[in-house]
Amino acid sequence: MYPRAFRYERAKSLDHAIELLAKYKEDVRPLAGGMSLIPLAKLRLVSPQCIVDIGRLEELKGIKEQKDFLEIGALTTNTEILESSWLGEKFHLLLDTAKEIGDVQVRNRGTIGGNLAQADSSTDWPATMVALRAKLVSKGPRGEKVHEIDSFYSDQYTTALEADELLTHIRIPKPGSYSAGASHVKLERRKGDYAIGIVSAQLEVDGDGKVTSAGIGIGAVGITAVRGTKVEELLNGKKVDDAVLASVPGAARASLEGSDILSDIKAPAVYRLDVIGTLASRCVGEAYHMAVSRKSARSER
Amino acid sequence: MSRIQAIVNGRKVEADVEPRKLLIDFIREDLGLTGPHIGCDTSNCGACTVLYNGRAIKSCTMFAVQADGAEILTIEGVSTDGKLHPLQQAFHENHALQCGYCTPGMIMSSIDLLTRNPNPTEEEIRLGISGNLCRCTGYHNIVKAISSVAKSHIFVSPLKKAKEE
Ligand SMILES: Cc1cc2nc3c(=O)[nH]c(=O)nc-3n(C[C@H](O)[C@H](O)[C@H](O)COP(=O)(O)OP(=O)(O)OC[C@H]3O[C@@H](n4cnc5c(N)ncnc54)[C@H](O)[C@@H]3O)c2cc1C
Ligand code: FES
Ligand code: FES
Repeated sequence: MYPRAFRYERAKSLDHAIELLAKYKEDVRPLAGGMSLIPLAKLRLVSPQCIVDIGRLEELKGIKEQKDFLEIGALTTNTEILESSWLGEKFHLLLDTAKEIGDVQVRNRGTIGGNLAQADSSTDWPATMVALRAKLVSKGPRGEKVHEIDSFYSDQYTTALEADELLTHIRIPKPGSYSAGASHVKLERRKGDYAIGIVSAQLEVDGDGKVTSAGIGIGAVGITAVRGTKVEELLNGKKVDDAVLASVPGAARASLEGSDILSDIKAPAVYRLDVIGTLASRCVGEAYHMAVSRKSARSER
Repeated sequence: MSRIQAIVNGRKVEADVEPRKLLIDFIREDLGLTGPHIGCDTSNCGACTVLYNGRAIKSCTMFAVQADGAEILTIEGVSTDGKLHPLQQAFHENHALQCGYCTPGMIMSSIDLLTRNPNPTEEEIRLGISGNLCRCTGYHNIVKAISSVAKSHIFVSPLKKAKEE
């Protein structure tokens, strides 16, 4: 199966890429790992007149620890993230998420930026970025912009980016004094299938085991990734015991009120809403367990 | 048309390709290497898996132009002087193939796995080949074959070989 014929341009630098995107703005797509764009182009669901290959832009690759945040280049592959085991100390959720993406071939090619730009709520990164309260940095002919993850998505496959703007970096705030606990839970029929529900959680606890900061992202249920606002409110300031965990499913569903819910051949809306509650309490339970055990490991040292 | 250059199985190749030409078609049709197969053509089955700069990728989901300057290894480049690679030998000995359609892809993914993780658990092996489907469903013996190579420490990466030539 071949895509419709297109013009191929290879970007030599970030500025060159933006120039090319601006030049063909009417009908252009950047090509990163191609794990979404190429299948869609082969099915002729998208048929851009021009494809700008950004795959070689070294300036958009790699993970750097800055003073207040972690900065991940948009072209960093899932495999590169997974193999950066040093992230486990403060950013375990990144490893938990990268591990869940498709299969080794998809992880080797697919990039974190391409995944976020694709704006498919059934993929893993959007929910994780909501949990981590990430900021997304973009660049275009009108300069650089910094987007809050909560306002980056407006609909399925729709982001705040214009056709001539590129996502360049992802900034993730560093967790506070204690190591955070994290968990990424998803339901899919078999490995690599589209998810039916995703919950991503990052929890920080104080010396007494009370939650000081909760980040919950819910994917594959709403048409965009949704913040588990009610779950965060429920957890803040509390020790997460069985009684709290029992209230998580209801809070997860309440967080989705007002969102358009996905319903398709893989799972109808009622099923997604039902299952997300279970996934949420499992995810919160695991993240809390990790946060508390890391805290005690610390105080023993 | 775009001019591309690549090292395929240690050999330098150069060709003009239409930008929409898929890497698998370039490998099979232009280079005549029909080891990598087309199963699904939708990035699901892994039959088209080759190593691209040392990493397993699905060549039906990459354009040949993207591979300009890359080093590619297909199943044809895995054996040495007519001698099967330990993974090929192990697939043979463990009856890890029935029709054989998925085998080239399975072996390329196994090379990626054992290169990065020489001592995988059974679960890690199963996850490592989760991007490869066997329509004959003979997974058990495939896992056995990969595990036998890991356990007897006879895995050598064919990647270095391609580089030295
Ligand atoms: C078999 C299979 C299984 C998969 N399983 C999973 C899974 O379990 N979980 C999961 O999360 N994902 C999964 N995916 C999707 C995968 O993660 C994709 O890699 C990802 O969605 C897109 O990343 P990419 O780098 O390949 O982007 P591309 O396909 O190159 O691009 C995707 C879109 O984003 C645009 N784009 C790319 N980069 C940028 C940028 N820097 N700035 C602006 N726009 C950009 C492109 O123009 C295109 O519209 C799977 C894919 C396949 C083929
Ligand atoms: S033919 Fe490429 S994944 Fe099936
Ligand atoms: S042996 Fe027939 S597809 Fe695997």
